[in-house]
Amino acid sequence: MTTLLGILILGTVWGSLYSLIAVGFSLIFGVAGIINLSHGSFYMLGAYLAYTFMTVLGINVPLSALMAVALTVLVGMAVDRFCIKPMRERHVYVLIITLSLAFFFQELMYAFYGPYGKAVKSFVVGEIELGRVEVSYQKVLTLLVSTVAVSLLWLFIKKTKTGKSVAAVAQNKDAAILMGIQYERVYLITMAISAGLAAVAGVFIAPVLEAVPGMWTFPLFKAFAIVIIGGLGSIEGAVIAAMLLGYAETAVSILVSPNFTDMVYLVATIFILVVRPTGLMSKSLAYK
Amino acid sequence: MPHFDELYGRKVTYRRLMGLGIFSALVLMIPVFMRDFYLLEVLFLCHYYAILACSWDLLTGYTGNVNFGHAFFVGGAGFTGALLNLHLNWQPWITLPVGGLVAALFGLVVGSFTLRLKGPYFAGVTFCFAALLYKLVMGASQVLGGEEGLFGICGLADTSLGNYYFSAILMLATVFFLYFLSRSPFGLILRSIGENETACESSGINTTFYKVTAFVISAFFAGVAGGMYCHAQMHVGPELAHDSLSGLILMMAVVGGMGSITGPILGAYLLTGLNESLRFMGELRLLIYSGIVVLVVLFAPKGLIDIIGKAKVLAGIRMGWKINRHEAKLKAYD
Repeated sequence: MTTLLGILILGTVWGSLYSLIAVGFSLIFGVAGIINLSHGSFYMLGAYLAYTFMTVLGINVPLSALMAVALTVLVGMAVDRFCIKPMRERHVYVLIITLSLAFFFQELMYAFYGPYGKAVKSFVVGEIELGRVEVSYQKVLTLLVSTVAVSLLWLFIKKTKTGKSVAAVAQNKDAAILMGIQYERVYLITMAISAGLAAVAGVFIAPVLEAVPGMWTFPLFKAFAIVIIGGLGSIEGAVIAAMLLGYAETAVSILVSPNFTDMVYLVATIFILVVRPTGLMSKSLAYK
Repeated sequence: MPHFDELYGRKVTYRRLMGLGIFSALVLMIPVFMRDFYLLEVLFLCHYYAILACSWDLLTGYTGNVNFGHAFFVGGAGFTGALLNLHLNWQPWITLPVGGLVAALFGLVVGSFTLRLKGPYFAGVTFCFAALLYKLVMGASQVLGGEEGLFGICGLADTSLGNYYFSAILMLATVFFLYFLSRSPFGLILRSIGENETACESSGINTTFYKVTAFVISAFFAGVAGGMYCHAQMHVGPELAHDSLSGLILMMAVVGGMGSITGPILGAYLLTGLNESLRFMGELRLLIYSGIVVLVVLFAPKGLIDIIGKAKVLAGIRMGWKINRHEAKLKAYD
């Protein structure tokens, strides 16, 4: 019983974290039609910036978190404007430039901080006990923040005018242009949101995991897997799939072995793509 | 619209053979003039990466399906060859082709399931296969060596010089084959699949068949290269299946110029050389390396081969040669 509760709770925490990363990734794909391989780098930058501000410079936690996210958002917007925009016509080039950028950011972190993991102190210390399962406050905080962030995003997309323009471009770019929506601005906004969410994930997970230069690969490809499973372009699908992945990974980690957690998303991706390439809730076809 | 003769005629074929011949001569003659072991080792790496980059380019550069998991074939064949060598004592001249065939088989299985998918999905799934292999290697430490890998594989040749020539001959054979394959009707079909697959299909071409074939051939050569590398290092480790290898191959092919077999060769030589020459920078090496790659991709997305081609045309115009647009466009095929 405790095991089941542990899986549920931990799975929810990890699932909410993944949903932060995956939603941004799915958004940028649904709106701009590009796979942003440097998405994982925003996550990494969030974590490293959090480390820089909090541990190295000793700035208080809320301000550091804000600054880390804000800086990453700026970086994301710069990436979109200077690196992705010139390449938008050919998707292959976007893949390549974002991948190269991801490597570049990794090496940048390596050059500044070295290969060893950087630890960040927990924002809130202590643990809460839910029915004999101990969960650190940090993880609970992460869960809260991700829920709030994703809800805010949902509200933004559905209720505000800018959010609706984002949805419009995702649905039909040409029609959106005819409606007078400036799609380049929408792309920039989307990239900003996407980078921001990833950065938030990075900032809040930094105390839990160490910050290493190579930390961008697995969130990126997990986000990719989640988005494939949940269907590209669908935020709800991304959240659901992210939670599923969180539960699945936690279950495997507890019931089988921690070594296999990282294989869950790989097997799931392959399985889904071979069996049901359209994903669970997709709006677009994976087949030609 | 290029005339048949301009694509396959005798003059063009002779010109291509000449080009490749000069390149081969250069490659084969280098050790005669320079016997520095370090240089030979570096050039060995160049050849290794050249084979990998060219084989990768056959699929991705031509059909546009980005393959993020080329290391899957390299590692798969490398480990197969290593195991065959360690347990059955098969020698390199058998393990290399067998490794290549195993990789080709992987390519056949993976490709027939996945090449129906659109671009980003295919890219993701290829990454997943490579990552799975990596996890497998790290997990099955007893059989596959885990983090340290397997040692004690028999060597390729007894000296650096021998290794160099082995790799050189293998690379030249691969390059000749892939070069002429890409300039054949098969290559033309691959290229048209990359340009507009729907139009290609409406012409009655079974695009999946061609894509899978390209994938299988690509996998075969990658596998042979992997086997070669393992025997030369006498060690095989999980880094042969790591995504950084896939990324490196991709970057070499892109910097050199995708969609032409000559571009990746240039990219392989250039980036391997860059990597070695930056060693004196210590920790900043990879930063500068990746920074240069980003800059090249931003400003020369079609690769350095394309820049060289454009420079040739410009120089030709300056010198008053008669370059008509027709010929300049043809450069894209050659």
